[in-house]
Amino acid sequence: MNCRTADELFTAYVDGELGTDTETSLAAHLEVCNTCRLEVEVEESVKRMVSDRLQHIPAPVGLKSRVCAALAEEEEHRPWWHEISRRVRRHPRQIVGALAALFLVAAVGILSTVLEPEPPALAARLMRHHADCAVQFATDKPLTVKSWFQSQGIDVADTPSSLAPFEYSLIGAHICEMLHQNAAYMVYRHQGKEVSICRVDGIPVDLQKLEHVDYGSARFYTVTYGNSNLVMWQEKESVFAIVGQVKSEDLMAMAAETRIL
Amino acid sequence: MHDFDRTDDANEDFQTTALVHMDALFNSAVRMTGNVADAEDLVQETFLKAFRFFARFRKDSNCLAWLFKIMKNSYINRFRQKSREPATVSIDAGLPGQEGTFLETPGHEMEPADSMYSRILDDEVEDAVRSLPEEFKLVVLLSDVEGMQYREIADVLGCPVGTVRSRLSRGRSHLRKHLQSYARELGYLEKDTGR
Repeated sequence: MNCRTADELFTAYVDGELGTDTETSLAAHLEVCNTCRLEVEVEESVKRMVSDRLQHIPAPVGLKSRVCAALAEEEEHRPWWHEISRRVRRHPRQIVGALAALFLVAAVGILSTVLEPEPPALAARLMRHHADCAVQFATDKPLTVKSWFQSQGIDVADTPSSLAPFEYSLIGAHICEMLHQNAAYMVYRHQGKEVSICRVDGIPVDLQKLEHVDYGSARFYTVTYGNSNLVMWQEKESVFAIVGQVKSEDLMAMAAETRIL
Repeated sequence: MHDFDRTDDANEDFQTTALVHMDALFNSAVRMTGNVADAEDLVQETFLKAFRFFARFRKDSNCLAWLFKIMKNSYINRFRQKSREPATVSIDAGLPGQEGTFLETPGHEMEPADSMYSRILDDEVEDAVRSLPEEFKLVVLLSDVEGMQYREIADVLGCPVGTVRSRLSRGRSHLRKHLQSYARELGYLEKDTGR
C-alpha cells in the first residue's frame, strides 16, 4: 500500500469501518510510514476532541410534557376509523357496539363516496407531501439534477429543463424519504405555481382504482384533492406522478409532452 | 387538553420506542438550529410527524435513525417556510462538474435560553462544530457524538456509505483547520502536521 491509497482510508480506519483485510494492510503501512501515522493520529484526535468536548445536552424538563400534549391533541384529530379500531382493541366486550358504529359510519362512508369520491389515501399523501417538501438542491440545470440524484444513490433518466407546452422551468430537486426512500422529485415553477414530477416506485398505489383518461397512446390516472391535481402513469415498470395546483388537463399535457423520465 | 394516554397499546409502544430518544434528538437539534427554542420546536415537530407515520415504521429497524431522518427533513422544510427564496451558497461537497447550490441553512448564532445551556455551548469546539457547513455538521454529530455507524448515518441521510465517509473526512478536516491551536492547548494534538 502506498501513501496515496492509505490517505483515503484514514477516516474509515479511525471509525473502525474498514474490512479486516484492508485494515490489516493499512496497519502494516502505518508501521513503516511516519507521515501517514501522524495523519491518522491527528484525525483520531479531532474525533476524540469532538466526542469529549460536546457534552450531551438533555432536553429541557418541560419539553416532554409539551410533546405529549401535542401528541394527545394530534390523537384527538385522528380520523374516525383509527379511533374506532383503537376502541375495539381496547374494549373487546363493547365490540358489538363498536361494530354497530362501524356499520353506521361505513354506510355514511359509502354514501359520501357516491356523492364525492375520496382519493385513495396514498395518492392524497403524495399530494400533501408535494406541498410540504422543500427543494433540497436548487438548480435550473437538468444534468446537475441528474448527477445530484446519482450522488444520492438514485438513478433518474434525463430531466427536462422546462415542461412544455407551458413555461414551467426547472428550479430544483428533492428526495422525499418520508414517502419512500427513492421518491425523487423534480420541481418546476411558472408564474408562482409549482409542479413536481416524481418517480414513485415502490409506493403501493393501486392505479386500477383511480379514474383514468386515455390521452394519445398513454393512459393517465387522475386524482383531485382540494386545489391540487395528481396525474400518474406507468412507464417501463415504474410509476411516475406529476402533481400541482394546476388543472388535470394541463398536467396531462405536460406529462404527455415529457414522458422522458 | 388531554394527556397522552399511556395505557393505550399503540401510544405506549410509541413512548417506549420513539419518545425515549428525545434527549438524543434534542442534543443534535440544538447544534443544528443554533438555539434552544428552535431546537424544542424541531424536536416536537419531529415527534408529531413520527407519530403520524408510526404505523409505517418497521419495528425491527432502527428507530433513532428513522427519527433523525424525519428531523433532518423537517429542519430543511422549516427553513424553507421561513423564506421561500433562500440565499444559496456555493456547493462545497458536490461532485466534480456539479454546478448546483445547496440551500443555505439558518445562521449559527446561539441564543441560549438559560445559563446552563450557555455554559455548555460556550466552547471553542462547540463553536467550530456549529459553524460547519450543514452537509458536514450532521454527519459529524451522528458519528462522533451519537456514535452511529456509517450504515446508520447513510440511512438517515439517504445517501451511499461512501458519501458518509467523504463528508465525515471533510468535516473533520474543517474542524482541524479551525481548532489546531486550541487542540494543542488542550493536549489533543502534539505536533503540527502542516496540513
